[in-house]
Amino acid sequence: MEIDILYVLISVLAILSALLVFMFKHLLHAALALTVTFLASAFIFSAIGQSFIGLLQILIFVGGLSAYLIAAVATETKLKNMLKPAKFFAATAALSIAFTAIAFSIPQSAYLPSTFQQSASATFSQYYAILFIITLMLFSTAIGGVLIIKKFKRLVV
Amino acid sequence: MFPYLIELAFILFAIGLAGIASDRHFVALLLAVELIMVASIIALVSFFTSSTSASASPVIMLLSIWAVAATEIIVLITFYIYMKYNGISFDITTLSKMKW
Repeated sequence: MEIDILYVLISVLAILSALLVFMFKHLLHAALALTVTFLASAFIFSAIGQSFIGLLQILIFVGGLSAYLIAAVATETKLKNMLKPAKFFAATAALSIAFTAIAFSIPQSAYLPSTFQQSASATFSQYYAILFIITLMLFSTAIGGVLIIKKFKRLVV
Repeated sequence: MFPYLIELAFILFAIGLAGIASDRHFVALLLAVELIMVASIIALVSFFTSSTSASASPVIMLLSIWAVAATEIIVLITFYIYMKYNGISFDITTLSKMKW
C-alpha cells in the first residue's frame, strides 16, 4: 500500500506534539503544542482530500478554541505537575499497541471510495436547522459563562 | 491509507487517555480531553470518508463533536477563571469542595 511521505511526516508531527502537551511543564507551552496537533490534524484532512473539513478544523480549533485557551492560560504562573515519564510512556505504548491491533483487524472492505462531499451537501441543504440549534447552543453557553464569571465580586470582567 | 489514519487517531486517543490517567492538573485534563476530541474527529472522518452512503449523518456527527468541544472549552475555561480568582487549587482532587 502506498503511503504518502507528507502524510507520514504530518502524522509524526501530530503524535510528537501530542506527547509534548504532557511533557511541557508550563501550561502555555502545552497549549501551544496542542495547537500544533490541531494544525497537523487539519493538514491530514487536506491530505486525504477533505479540504473543507480541514479548513473548518483550522477555523474552529486553531482560530477559536486554541486562541481562547491560550488567552486564558497566558497569565498563568503556576506550573502543572511534571509527569512521571516512565509511567506515561508505558501507558501510552500499551494503549497504542492495543489500538493498533484493533485498527489493523478492521476488514479492508470497510475502506471504500469517498462520498463525504455529498454528505456535506445534504447537511447544509436539508438539515440547516441543526446548524442553527448548535449555533444557539454555543452562543447560550458563552453567555452563561460570562454570567457565571460576573457573579464573582472579586473578579473584574 | 485509511487504516493508518485510524491508527493515528487511536494513538492520539491513547496519548490523551494516558494524560488523563497520569495528570491531576485541571487544565492539563482539559488539554487531554481536547486531544481525545481531535482523535475522535480523525477517526470519524476516516470512517465516513470511506462510507458509500450519502446520508447527512457523518457531517452532523462532526458538527456535534465540534460543538461539544467548543462548549466544553467555554465551560471549563469559565471554571478555570473561577478557580484561579477564588484561590481554589487546580488539583482535581479538591474539586469536590466547590459549591454553587
